[in-house]
Amino acid sequence: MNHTASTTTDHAIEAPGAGRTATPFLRALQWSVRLELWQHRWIVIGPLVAASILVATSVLEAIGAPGNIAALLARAPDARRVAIAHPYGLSAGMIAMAAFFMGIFYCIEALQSERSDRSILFWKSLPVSDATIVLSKAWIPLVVLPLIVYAVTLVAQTIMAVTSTFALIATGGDPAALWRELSLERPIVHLYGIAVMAILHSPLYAWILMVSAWARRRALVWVFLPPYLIGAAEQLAFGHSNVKKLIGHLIMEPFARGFALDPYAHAKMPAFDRVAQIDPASVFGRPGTWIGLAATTLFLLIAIRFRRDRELT
Amino acid sequence: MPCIEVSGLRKTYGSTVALDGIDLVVEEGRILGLVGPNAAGKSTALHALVGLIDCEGSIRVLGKDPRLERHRLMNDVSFIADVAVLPRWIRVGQLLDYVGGVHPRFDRARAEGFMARGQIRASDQVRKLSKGTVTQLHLAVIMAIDSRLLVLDEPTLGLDPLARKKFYDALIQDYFDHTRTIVVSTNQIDEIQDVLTDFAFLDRGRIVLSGSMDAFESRYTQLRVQPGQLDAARALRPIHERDVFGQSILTFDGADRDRLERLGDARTPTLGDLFVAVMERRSGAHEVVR
Repeated sequence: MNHTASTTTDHAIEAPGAGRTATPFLRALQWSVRLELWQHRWIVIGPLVAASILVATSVLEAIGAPGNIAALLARAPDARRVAIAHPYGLSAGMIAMAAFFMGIFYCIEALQSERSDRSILFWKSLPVSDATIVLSKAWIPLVVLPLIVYAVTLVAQTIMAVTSTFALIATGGDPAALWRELSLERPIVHLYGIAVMAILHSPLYAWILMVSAWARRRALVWVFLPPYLIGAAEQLAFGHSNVKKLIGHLIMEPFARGFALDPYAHAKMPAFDRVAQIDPASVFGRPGTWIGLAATTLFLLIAIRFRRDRELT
Repeated sequence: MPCIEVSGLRKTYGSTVALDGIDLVVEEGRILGLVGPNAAGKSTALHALVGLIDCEGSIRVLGKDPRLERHRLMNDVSFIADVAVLPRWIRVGQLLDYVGGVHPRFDRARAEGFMARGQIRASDQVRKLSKGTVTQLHLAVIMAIDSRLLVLDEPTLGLDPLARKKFYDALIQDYFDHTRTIVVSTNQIDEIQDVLTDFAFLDRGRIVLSGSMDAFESRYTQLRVQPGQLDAARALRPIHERDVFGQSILTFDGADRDRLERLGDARTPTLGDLFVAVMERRSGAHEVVR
């Protein structure tokens, strides 16, 4: 039998708040990204800590061995450029690598933690779509973290350059000689580097977000175990593993393309600090990049679907 | 157009049937109380109304399918779950900022007014608040949303009696100020009896009794039987009988009240009394009080 709770006639039925339209997508996205930053303050603090360690090391080295800069400047022109650029490239690469691991661990818990503490019941009581939430979480490793890394690296490298200048002055060297070797194009090259890194790492982040949206618990295990088992099985069966190679490539290729930091090809990091060295065709001319972006889109769509359909039990 | 139209709603978890064919229509401007024992399916039904779970059958809420259009629907619907679901890491000020940022119908000043009664400060972190204060905060946020439909699942769980009374007073005041539809589930039936326009008793996933409060008051009578009149009272076929301190109390459905008054002290039972009577004699059939 049906139950019908019929309309009262005591008061006219009007839609409260009529005329107020829904929140635009971009506004909801902006607030949701802000929410992520409130919850995960270490996203800002982490790169700052990594940069602080590098800057402190650089300052201590300048104080402990102030003559090192002058010694580097005394080398032959080609070797001098590589030697002067090395700590700057290294600092950029190290901070970017720290941010990469932070992005991985952020994604692992991004969509699972809201289910484990049941706060998803509150978030879903608000007029924010599952797509907005998933995209706001993807926005963190793909946009926010790279921009934080960029700003922090810029400040760290400026401090390092100023410290080296003072060390040079203190030992009677010529600061102009140092600044001739320091490329002022480095910030542009670095911006390109972090953009490339975010684009090429995006399939990894999207895969992890998808697993985080799907796994009832222990997302960390589900992220790493299946690829590891497939790689191990392939190794046992054929004596080599393309899966392992692919994963290693997915992780390290962005550092090579974005920062000329290639642990397989170079024993020492080359200087990568001139705009002329930028070669977008080496990134966007490869089918692998586009396949990766297609995979990113697919994984994010599946993550949205999982967030919509996963029920709390 | 009804506010809520539900037909053949069924939900199973493995071999457990949580909802077993619920039909429900709630017109705009009504306050429906969903009452049932634990695991009756109240929360599952409310989750289905706001699109949190997928069910068999059809659901239309304010003309929308909640499963497919949840986020659009939530522009017009406020929902509070039966457990503490506010994120523990968030500060009260951040919570208000976010809800204000994404909800076009959220009135921050109104929420702060409710919060001031509970002495909740913007700098407080949710994890440092007591369970009752977290509930008050959640209610303050929900009540500050100018929605067309309020879905409240055990909203006063964890609140002390004074806070519960204040909440229901605010709810009824808000109802008359804005004219909205409210669906509320609770086990504290007698506290909300005066607030409701309609009720539905749920048991094992089915609505076993439902109707308007007006019909309930005119149809049911509870009789405290005078000594020596018990056999005469029993002859009128009560639906329930119990003893309290040696005195028999009988509940009747549709009996002539004048006749009952000659046998003892006759009055309208509370909704809680009727709930106990129905649950104890439950046959499984769904009745509608007319």
